[in-house]
This record gives sequence, C-alpha cells and structure tokens, in this order.
Amino acid sequence: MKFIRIFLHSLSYTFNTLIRKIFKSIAVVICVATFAILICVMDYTIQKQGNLLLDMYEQYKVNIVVLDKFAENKEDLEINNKYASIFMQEDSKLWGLIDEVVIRSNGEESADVYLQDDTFIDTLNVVGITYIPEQYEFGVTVEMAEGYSKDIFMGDESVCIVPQNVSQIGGNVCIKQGPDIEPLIYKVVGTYVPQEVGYDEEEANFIFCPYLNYDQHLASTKNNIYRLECRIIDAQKVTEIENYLLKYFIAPSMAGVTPSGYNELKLFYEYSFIIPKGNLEEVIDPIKADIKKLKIVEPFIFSFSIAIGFIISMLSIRNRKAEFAVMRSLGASGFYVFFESFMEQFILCMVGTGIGSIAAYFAYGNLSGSQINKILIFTACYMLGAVIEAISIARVKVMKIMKANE
Amino acid sequence: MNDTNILQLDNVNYEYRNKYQSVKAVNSFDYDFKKGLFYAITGKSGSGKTTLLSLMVGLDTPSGGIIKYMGEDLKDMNMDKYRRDNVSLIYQDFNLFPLLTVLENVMYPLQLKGQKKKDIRHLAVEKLAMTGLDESYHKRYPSMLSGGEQQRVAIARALVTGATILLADEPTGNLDTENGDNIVSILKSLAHNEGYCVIVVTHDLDIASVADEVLQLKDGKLIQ
Repeated sequence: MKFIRIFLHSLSYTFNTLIRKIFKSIAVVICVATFAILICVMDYTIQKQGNLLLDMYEQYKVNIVVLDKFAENKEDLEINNKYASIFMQEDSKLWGLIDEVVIRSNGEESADVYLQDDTFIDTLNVVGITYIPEQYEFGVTVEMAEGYSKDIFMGDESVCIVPQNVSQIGGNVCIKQGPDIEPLIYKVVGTYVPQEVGYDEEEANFIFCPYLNYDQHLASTKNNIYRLECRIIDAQKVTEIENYLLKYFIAPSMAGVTPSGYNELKLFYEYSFIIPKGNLEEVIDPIKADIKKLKIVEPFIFSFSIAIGFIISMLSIRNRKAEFAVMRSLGASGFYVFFESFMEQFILCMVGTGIGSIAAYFAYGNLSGSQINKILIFTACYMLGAVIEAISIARVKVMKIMKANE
Repeated sequence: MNDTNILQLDNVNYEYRNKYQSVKAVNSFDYDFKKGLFYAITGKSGSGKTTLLSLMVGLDTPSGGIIKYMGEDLKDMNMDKYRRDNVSLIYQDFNLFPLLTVLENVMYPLQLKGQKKKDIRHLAVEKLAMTGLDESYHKRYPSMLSGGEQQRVAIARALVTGATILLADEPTGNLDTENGDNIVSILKSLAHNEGYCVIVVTHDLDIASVADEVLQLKDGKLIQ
C-alpha cells in the first residue's frame, strides 16, 4: 500500500506540474506533435511520389521491337527461328517480364487444304502467328470458337484459322504441302470472311497456325520470322531487359556497326532492337528526380527531428535539476526522482506524438507502417534523452547543485 | 555514547580529486552534536562548511572516518530513509517547490514516505502554525510569499518529517535583518524548547553570537 501511495503521489505531482505549467506543457506537446507530423509528411510525400511512379510504370506500356541491323525496318526480317525461344520459352529470362508477343512468318509458304474425306478445298498461304490476326494487317476479321483465346497461338497445338468458306468452326482440315508429304490435321478454332476487306487489293487467303506449330511442321526455312515484337509488362524492368537483349541483339546505339562474333544463340549479330521509352522517361524522370531529392532531404529532416526530440526531453529535465535535487535532499530515492522526471516527459511525448499521429491520420486517411515506425523511433529517441537525463538527475550531487543555484 | 549525542563525527575526512590536484575539504573532523543545542558552523568561503553539511545529511560519503547517527554508522543505513526520517535540510534559497502550494510543500516529505494524505494534513497545518503561518497562507504559492515567509515554510517542511536534526545552510542569507532574526529565534526555540539538534552553517556573526556552540572551520579543519 505504501508503495502504491508513493507511486500515486508521484503521478499526482507529475500531473500537477504539467497542469500548473500548462503553457510550457502545451509548447512541448505542440513541438513534439509538429515533428511527428513533419516526419509523417515527409514519409507520405515520398510514398506518394513512389506510388505515382508505379502508376506511371503501369500506365506506360513499352514495346520491344526487333529491327534489322541498321535499326530501320521492322518487317520482312527473315529472323532465325531460334530467336523465338528468347521470347516464348519458359526458361528464358524474359518469361514473365513480357507479354503480347508478336511473332509471325511472312506467309509465303502455300499449302493445299483438304477436308478429312480428302476433298480438296483451296490452296492457301500458311502464316505462323502468335496472336489473332487483325484487320489492319491481314484484312481479316476473325471469329474465334468459344473457349479459345489468343493464348492458343502461343502454344504449338495443331489448330488454325481459315476462311469461312473452307470450314466451319470446330471442324478439321488437312494440310498437304506436297505429294510426298504426310498430311497434317488441324482443328479449326476460328474463321474469317475473306471478302470482307481486301489485302493488297486481293482477297485474303491465309491459313493461320500457331507459330511454334508452323515452325515445327510447315516452315520451309529456319529464317522464317517476318516480324518480332512484344510488350514489357513492368516498365521498371526496362533496363534489366535491355541488358539481357544485348546478349542477342545489337545495341540501338550501335545500329549499323555490327559487332564481330556470335551472340548467345551462336548466330551472327544481325538484328538490333528498340525500346521506345522516350515518353516514359519524360514522365518518370522528373518523378524519379523528386524522389531522389526527397530521399536525400528526408533522412536529414528525420535526424533533425529526433535530435530535437532528444534535446527537448533532456533540457526539460535539466532545467528542473534544482527541483529534483531538493527531492533528493528530502529523501526521495534515486529511482523516485528518475521515475518522476521520466514520467513527465513520457506523458508529454505520448500526447504530442499521439496528436501528431492522429492529425496525420486524418490528413492522409491512414498511417503507413513506415510512418508508424518513424514515429516510434522519434518517440524512442525522445524517451532516450529523457532516460539519460533522468539517470543523470537521479545520481546528481545535490549540494553542488544547491550551491550553484545560490 | 552519551544519550544526548545524536550525531557523532569521528575523524571525518573528505577529499576532492580531479585530474590536477586533490583538495582536503574536510580534514580530520571530530565532533559530537547533541540534542537540544543550537550550533553554528562558521568559516570563510571554501573552508569546507557546505561539504561538512552534505556529509552530515548523507548526500555524500566521507573518504575517511565515521559518521554515526544515534550510534549507528551512516554507511550501514539507507541514506534516502535517513534523510526522510532523521535529518532535514534548510537552504538559503528556501528551495520550495514553486508549483505546489504552501500546504502541499509541507506535506510533500510525508507523501514521499507513503503516508496517507488525510493523516498528514493536520500535521502540516500544525508545523506551519509553529512557524507562524496561519491558514491564510495554505493555498498560496511560494512566489506569493516574502523571503521570510518562504523560509518559514521551508522550516515547517523540515519539521514535519519528525527529523531530530535540522541542518541549515545560510538560512538568513537571503533575508532582511528582521526576518533573519525571526528565523534564528524560531530555530533557536526549536533547539531549546523542542529538543532538536539545530546546526546552522553561516557567515553571519550575529547567528554565531546566539549559538550554543560555535564551530569554526579553516581549510576543512575544526579550529575552535
């Protein structure tokens, strides 16, 4: 009971002091709250800029376009089929970093198309393709079978898109490329109306197959890629992807100057690539610069804040050295004096950081983990100052202070 | 031990040491202080008066010798408890708590002991009355009192603990003559009528002249 009474008396003295020195207490609380808000504002600003950067990266879709070695043409490239593996195989480093892979052959191979009962239908040009052909490129508007999407063309299944007059969706067709060649059966997963739009003022007469299937069974040459493009999923990885592509392609800046030797596919450096990221850089570079500046300034402001917190708590106790010395001379134990001085700063700090945090919460709608951590560090430093000074006060030479005071 | 001996200093030494020198602030001090007497310790500045006072009140420990309270070596006692129960200090600057009222100031040492507030109130009122401060002063803050009144509050605070030794460091140093005389007469009366051992450290020869015993210090040594 005695200890509880001493404890309660100590608390009552603390609250008495805080209330009777209300202006000083308010000043300390405002100061602490201001620094807590400042810490939150800095952190929030960096986070906001970071989110903006991520949004920009998400909004801006950047393509990779493979060009000839002069970086001039992007079509009719006659690229070796090995290059497809870089963009389409699961063990490639680009896997998961890119999508919308556009690989197509030139469509120069022709094949006779039969029904399964060996009825000849037409002779069509075979195009290996990794996407659903579009109007602007082939003059076709494709209707896909239910349950099939463009993804089917990223695989190597025996499926095809044919003119509507060749077969209905869901049917099968046989492709023969010569009298001695075994016919191949393809399931029709899409059709188009050839008359709809002319291609080169001629009717479209293509049979579209997945590129990998085409390359395996129907291609007449290994250098069969007419066009090669893809889209980078995460624009943040542009540099990483660029560096990877340099193992296979001539750097855009070196276009026209073919590097000697072979690339990692054991082929000559014959192609360059371009990643048109000018617009992206225009948008993200200023944001990145802002973040860089903020990240330089923020640690200083944070360090300054915690240093001020540390000093405020120390000075608040040190200024009342004489008062604590009197307590010691009246028989207060070192621990009592420590507790008394510490408790006062603890309350001020909690109220100050509490108000600061609540204000920041209402201003920004939430407090992030990083903001909470920083406020906790600020609180810890403030209390560290209080602890150091409280220990020093508890061990003070009372008479020395009394004489100095006089 | 004579039963009136309350504080015995036996060959007490105190040495300050720093990087450059060591100074004997108290040098082989031998003396027995008795109950019911009013002592004056005099000496020039730097003669060791305040150091001696801090040793007697248990705020410092001697580098040599023994200080005994009622026959018990201070080294074997809990110093905080010793200051709470047995000895009280009165300062030249009064050193009241500025944010506590007069009554709260006087009640403070008892609250430090963990005593119930309702039990100690009447004791504080009684001690204030002993120093001539009636109820009208109870709710005032120290800043609202004169120097003499503040020193009375400080004496009441010293008395309330039940301590038998009152140590005063220049208690009239900040007071005018009239107030100073009043304080001295209160202290003297406490010694002679209430049986306290009152030890006053002072430069003031007037106080020395009314003391029962005058101890003169020079370079930490008792010379008279």
